[in-house]
Amino acid sequence: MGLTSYILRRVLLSLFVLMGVSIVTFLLAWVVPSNPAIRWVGPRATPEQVARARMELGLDRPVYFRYLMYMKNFLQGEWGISIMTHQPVLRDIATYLPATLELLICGMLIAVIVGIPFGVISAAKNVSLLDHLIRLFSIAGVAVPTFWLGMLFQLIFFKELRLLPSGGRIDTIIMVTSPMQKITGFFLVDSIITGNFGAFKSALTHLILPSLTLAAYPLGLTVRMTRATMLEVLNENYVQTARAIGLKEARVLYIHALRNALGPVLTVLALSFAYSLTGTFLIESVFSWPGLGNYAAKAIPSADYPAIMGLTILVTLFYITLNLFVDLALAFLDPRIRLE
Amino acid sequence: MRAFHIWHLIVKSPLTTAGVSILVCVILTAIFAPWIVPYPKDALGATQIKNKFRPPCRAHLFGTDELGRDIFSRVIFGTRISLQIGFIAIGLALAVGVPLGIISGYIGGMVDELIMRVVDVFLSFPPLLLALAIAAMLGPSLNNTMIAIAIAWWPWYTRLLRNEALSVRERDFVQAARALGASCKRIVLKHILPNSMVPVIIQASMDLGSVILTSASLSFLGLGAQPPTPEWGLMVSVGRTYFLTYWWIPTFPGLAIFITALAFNLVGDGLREIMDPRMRRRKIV
Repeated sequence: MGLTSYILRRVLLSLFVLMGVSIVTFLLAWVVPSNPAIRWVGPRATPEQVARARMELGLDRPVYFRYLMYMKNFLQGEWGISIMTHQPVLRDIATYLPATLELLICGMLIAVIVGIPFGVISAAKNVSLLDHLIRLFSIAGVAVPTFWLGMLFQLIFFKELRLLPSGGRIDTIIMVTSPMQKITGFFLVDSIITGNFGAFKSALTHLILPSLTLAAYPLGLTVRMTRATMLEVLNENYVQTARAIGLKEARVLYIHALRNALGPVLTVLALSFAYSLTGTFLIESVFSWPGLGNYAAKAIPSADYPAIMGLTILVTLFYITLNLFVDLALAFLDPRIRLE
Repeated sequence: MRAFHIWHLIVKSPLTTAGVSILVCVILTAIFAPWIVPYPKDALGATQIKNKFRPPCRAHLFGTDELGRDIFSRVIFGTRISLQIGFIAIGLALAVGVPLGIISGYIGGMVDELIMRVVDVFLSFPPLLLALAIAAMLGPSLNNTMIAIAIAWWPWYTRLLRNEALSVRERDFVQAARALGASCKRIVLKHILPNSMVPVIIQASMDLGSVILTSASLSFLGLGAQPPTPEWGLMVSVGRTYFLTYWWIPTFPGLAIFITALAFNLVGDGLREIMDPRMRRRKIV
């Protein structure tokens, strides 16, 4: 199979999955709740108001018609009005997205920078004490409840050691004395561009604990995956050859072996990027981080269904697109994949 | 692989041994909870306001919470709830996933195509997110949490079982049974199902850790158990209000979630290595 036909097939498959996802989210939003109309007008509404809501929401129409309406609204960017903020859900998402992305990117960077070397070392020192410790660390990263880990960090680094702030994105005093100009929405980037170093320092200290907490899960997965693929690659003949011709061990590990072990690691990273986006629902609420996760954590108890559904769709879209990109990138880099 | 051989491989790995030991303790705790807890009434929600916010001491190992309840008793009872959620949710997921997987793998053709495409769609949601959206739509309760988790998990088992069934279907003993005139029902129930269930059972037991973590996360967000249930995630969530002053309230329930999930993951990781010969521990020179 050529590269073009592989790409075509993969894109078509993603489009098909997207359609399926839209049907599932539609069913969740409009069929699972026992009475969406009551939900819409609130529990104290009169029967007439409920009846009117049923008409307005199109609940008296057949299901396929409602699905088409749902898709039309969705594609036009009308994702409903948030019950909590009274703003269009899509506008809320746009407001809160940069904060979440900044946190997510920092967390993932930690996962990559620490996770890959740890995985390599663990594989190279297979069945040693160090290997066992690294494995325990990686499994603990996957098993730890992030919301609890975040609270422990606050307890240690904020309350006991008084080193780092407990939550928020920046000091309120800094916001008054040297306010941030909004360019990209990423505080770290914006403060550097504008030369606002006070704000940069404050934003950075606020970012440390939440991004460490967020990193736990992807870090664990990255170490595990790097270790597993490295163990396989290290048995290959070319690695033995590289050693035999007297290359330094670090060069064999990090240049020759790692390059061929990175494919599955990349896939796991993409996967955990999207998983961590859901993880922010828990972490942001612990750290009062003003992003999508905090928005979601507030939307859930206030039964803000349009917001919850909007976020579900957004994260899933993100997940599918990311998977598609990784698959295409891998196919581009490794011709063997296209042939499978 | 012989049971003895598997046991030998488990014992050889210190991490897996640790996982198995913790797991045995957790299960024993769940079974004997009513005999272990010092204050059974506190576990069920009786309030003792005059005892509130006691730090850990001899009378209250893990201290008391904002309503004066003994946290140790509640954490011990919580073991039952968490394991129960895990087993029931996975059981439900298997009840849906296994029959669909068998049908898909054995019948094949259009039916297989249809089931697998539905599976693809469900697998394209991150599981925590799907469980969260379903639980949010169903309304907060322990039962809804289990249903939501089962809906998020079944497709994994369907896909796994289908792939197994596909390969078992072509094996000689199945062909022989067919040649002897065995009915379709007999072939599926007596030959294909027993021979394709092992990987599914292993996967399901490895998933228990993530299911327990997911249910705790849902409870933390207010979607799972409701007060005064001694559910770990809920206890951490309630304890959040007080934790900078009274650190012990969320710390111990959270630790319980961590240790249980860790034990399941350690065992799962060990089983995966045993099952996958390529990953079996060996010294690379």
